[in-house]
Amino acid sequence: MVKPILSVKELYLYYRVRAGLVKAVDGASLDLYNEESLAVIGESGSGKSSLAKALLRLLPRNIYRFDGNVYIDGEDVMKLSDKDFDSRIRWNKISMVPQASMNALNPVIKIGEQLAEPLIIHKGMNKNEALDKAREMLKFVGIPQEFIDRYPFELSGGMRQRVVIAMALITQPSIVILDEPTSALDVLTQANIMNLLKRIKNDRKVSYIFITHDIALSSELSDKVAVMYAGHIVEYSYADKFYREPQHPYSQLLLSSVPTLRENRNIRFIPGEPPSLLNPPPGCRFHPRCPYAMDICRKEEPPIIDMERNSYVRCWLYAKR
Amino acid sequence: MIKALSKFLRELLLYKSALVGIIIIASLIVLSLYAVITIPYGESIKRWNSIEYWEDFPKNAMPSWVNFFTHKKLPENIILDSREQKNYVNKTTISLSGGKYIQRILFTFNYIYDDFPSEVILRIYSNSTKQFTTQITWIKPGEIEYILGRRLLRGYEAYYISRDEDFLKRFNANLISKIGSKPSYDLDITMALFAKEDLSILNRDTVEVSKGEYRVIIDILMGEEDINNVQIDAKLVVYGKVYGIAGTDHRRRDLALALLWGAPIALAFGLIASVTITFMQMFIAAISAWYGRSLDFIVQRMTEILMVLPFLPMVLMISYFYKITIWMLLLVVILLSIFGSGVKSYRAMFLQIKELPYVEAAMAYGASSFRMIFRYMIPKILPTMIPSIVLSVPDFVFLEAALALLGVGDPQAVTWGRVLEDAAREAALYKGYYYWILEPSMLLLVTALGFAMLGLALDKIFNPRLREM
Repeated sequence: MVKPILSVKELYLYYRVRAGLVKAVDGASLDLYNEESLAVIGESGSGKSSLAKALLRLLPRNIYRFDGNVYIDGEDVMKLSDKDFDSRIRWNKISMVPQASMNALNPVIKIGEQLAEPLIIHKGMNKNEALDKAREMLKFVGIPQEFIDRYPFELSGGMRQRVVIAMALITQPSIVILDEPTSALDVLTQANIMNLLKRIKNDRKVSYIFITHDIALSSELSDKVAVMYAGHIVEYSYADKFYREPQHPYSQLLLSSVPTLRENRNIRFIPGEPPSLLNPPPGCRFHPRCPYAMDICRKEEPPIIDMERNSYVRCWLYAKR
Repeated sequence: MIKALSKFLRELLLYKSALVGIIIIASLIVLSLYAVITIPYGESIKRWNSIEYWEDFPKNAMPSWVNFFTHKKLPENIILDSREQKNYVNKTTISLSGGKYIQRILFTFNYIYDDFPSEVILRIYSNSTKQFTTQITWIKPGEIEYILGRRLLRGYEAYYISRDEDFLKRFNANLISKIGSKPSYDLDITMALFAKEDLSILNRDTVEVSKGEYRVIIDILMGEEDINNVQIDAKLVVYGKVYGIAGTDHRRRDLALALLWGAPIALAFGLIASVTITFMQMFIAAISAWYGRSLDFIVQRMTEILMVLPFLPMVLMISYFYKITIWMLLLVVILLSIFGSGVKSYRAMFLQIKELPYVEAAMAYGASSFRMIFRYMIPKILPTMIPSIVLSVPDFVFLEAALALLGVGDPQAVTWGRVLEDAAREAALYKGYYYWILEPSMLLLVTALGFAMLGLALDKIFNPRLREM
């Protein structure tokens, strides 16, 4: 049996704020296999980015609870000290293209030096070696080599995005988290970046965790899908199945809210607002907006209901009673 | 790099104020280099505080360029030295009967100024301790001859001619016999030595200089045995009323030296203080903002305490108690300022930068705290700092001058502030020595102006939002 390259079991990340506890990631479990890509979709504030930050240990100071098991290559990295995590895992095994990554470049250093930073920090290279590698990487993501001496403000948004992607790949990690890598880009550039990401996946044999709220885009680049709602993964499934037959009511509504090109159908929207993570509704967190809400949904949290091929859904509708 | 620099310079020079500022600062730097190269620092201090070095300089003389602007020409310094082989000196030996000889030193000089000199001093040097009778004769134009005195010479002798009251008595008596009256006011001895002896001398307002050739004869009577062994020399100094390009002070010191050496000290003091304080404040602010929590708390409370402490009284107290040198003063100023208000404003900037996406991204790929502070946060605010460094240089130049003026500066240092202090202490304005106050003040002002003009132009370039429409 093939072992997953990343396996998350019951991961919790709670923040403490003045008003109370924010349960940003509440018992998330997922598996990611080699060369597989997992789309994490959900509305804003559903905990997608917190999940990414928890995996990379980018924790804010007001942390209240951070536990669970994260196995990378079979090793539980949650047990590692911060120092070990930094030196062995961060960027060596798992890297990230951060949100708003067009602005993720240091405005006062040149592109080449910026690209070289992860190599200098994690691989202990000297500056010249790192710059050589950076030049190679720039070429790989399709940026002319003379841009190595330019500053970020001299590059277009798409180019900056490519640089940030190159930065995530330059140390050859096996897992790359892409946190909304195409937001704030125009549609053509988005397509370019998506093609680049596909090409990288084929050439470099990496696994992606692709965080987005753009469901159409997620279908482009996913083998698996995790739908997050208010800190929970409410559905975890295979892409081929998910886009045709979503199981969870939320997934169904989410998919039907996406405009399609050929069909002429009314776009539906989900009534109500996403719940506050500070004070989530009792029982199933989706019940106030759910068209199929039952009594039990208002009282008890739904269990994780395993479906075929390791997928699961968190909904009372599928509970065998 | 060079291309970027020249592009930046070209942009800077679009501002006329920057050009003027650069010219001023460049000339100050040239002046400083000249000072440092020609007179070493230790030498300048030694010279400035010595008395002997300045003995041939006039007291409180105005700068000599005032003669360009006045109708009445003020006298320059005249120094006649028999040890120098010049044609104004004539050394002869006259043999008398009975094996006696007279060694004669004759000084000849032209006096063509419209005002009287400030002092006349004759110094006689002998290489023997033996006593000789000496006679000094003063011959005015028109062969009017006065025997100034007979005295005994033993080794070195300074004869303050312009204080010789005996001569004045004889002069007055002579005047009565010549024109039947003596002046109604207290005639100065320098006037008696140089005035025209006609009716004009009787009134203070009409007394005139007798222009022409003056001769001073020093006769030393000696025996045959000494004539070949004893070497006697003389130096006559007719102190003027103008000197050099900057004039002199009450201790005959040439102000040019202090003004010249004041430039490197002012620049060094201002630049070192400004650069160190700004950078230290920035580092402290960066560390405080980056680490936050208790470190931030401690740094901020310390800053508040030091901001509340009155700066000037503290510096005054320290200087009074410890009599510190100017470089110690610099250290004290830096130490009292590094937890200044700059820490607050830079911290505010850093707290903003800390939340920027690129800093978060760098945290994601695991840049160390050191790297974050020095490569990601500080370079971002460097551009806003450069103008403020330039603009705060004059603050510290003025601070040094102000401390010197309050009498707590380095008692040995040669600074513009010290010149001002001397001038203030000697009531220069009351006595009419305007140049003494104006020269250092102008230099201070021009320095401040130069840095301000450059700083404001830099500010417009680095912070384009300030640029006028």
